[in-house]
Amino acid sequence: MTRIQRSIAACRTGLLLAFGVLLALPAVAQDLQPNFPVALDKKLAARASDVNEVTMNKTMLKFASQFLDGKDKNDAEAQRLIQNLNAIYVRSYEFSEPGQYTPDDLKTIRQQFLGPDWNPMVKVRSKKGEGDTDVYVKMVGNEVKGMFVLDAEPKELDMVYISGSIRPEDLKQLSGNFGIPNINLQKGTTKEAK
Amino acid sequence: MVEFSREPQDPGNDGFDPELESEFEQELRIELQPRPAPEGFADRVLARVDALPRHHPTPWSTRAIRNQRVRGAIAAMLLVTVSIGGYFEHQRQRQIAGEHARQQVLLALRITSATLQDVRNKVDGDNANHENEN
Repeated sequence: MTRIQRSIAACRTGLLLAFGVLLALPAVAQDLQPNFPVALDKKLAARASDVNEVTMNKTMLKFASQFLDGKDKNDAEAQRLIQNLNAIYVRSYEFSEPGQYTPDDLKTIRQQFLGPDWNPMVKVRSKKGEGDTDVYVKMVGNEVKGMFVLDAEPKELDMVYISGSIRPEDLKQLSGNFGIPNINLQKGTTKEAK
Repeated sequence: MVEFSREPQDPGNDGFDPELESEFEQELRIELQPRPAPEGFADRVLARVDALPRHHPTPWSTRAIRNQRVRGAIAAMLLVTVSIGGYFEHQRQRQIAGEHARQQVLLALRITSATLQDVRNKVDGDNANHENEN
């Protein structure tokens, strides 16, 4: 192999490496600052009578963490829970009457979590039309790197998307043990009472 | 010139000679007669007045401001005041934003917690139904 051929080969390898890095960068950035995967949120918000939307990316979580009081029980738990998260997106819609979202809307939402990393963990379908529930978990290796919860009821639709490392004990901590056994969100309704 | 006639007075009363007095008066009258000012006299006087340096007393504050060191000190003081004010305002804004972010995180976790609790209830209910069917 002549010197020129070696140089060309080295250039080609360098270009391939650079191209690979360029391709990987958006994926890394997406993982660090993911967007809320559900595109229907604005449409649903327009139909809802009550909307609770929370969007916290990594920067905001880090910023909020500085203002959580470590001496307060809830704040300390929140601080511990969010330290490894990249984002939390919460969309909670209450409707004045049933039928404000269609089964097709739910199908569209679910289709966004059919990727290879996402695994359906919980799937509850009510025969009486009381509501459907889905929990999807994003597994990368043996680690949980994300979670999406869809809780659909006739007059309420809740979506929670958490991106980042979530430990099983964190999930246990979140599911009803977040120091708030009886949560009053809006209009005096309680989640447990439903 | 207007001539004034005067009755001769008795020299014995005030000790003056009427003739001498009359001459004196005449001279005085001539001397005191108004004469027009020379041509351009008023203009020349005004021009000289304008040319004279004016000495107004300068207040201490103006004198101080003209001083380079005082100016520097005032500028530095203003800069420090503005900086300190800006810093505290920034801190206040940051505190407000931080408290808002904290509330948002807590709200997000509360809704997540409630939703997961709801999911758990549904799964538990579903399992109980299956057990009853069996």
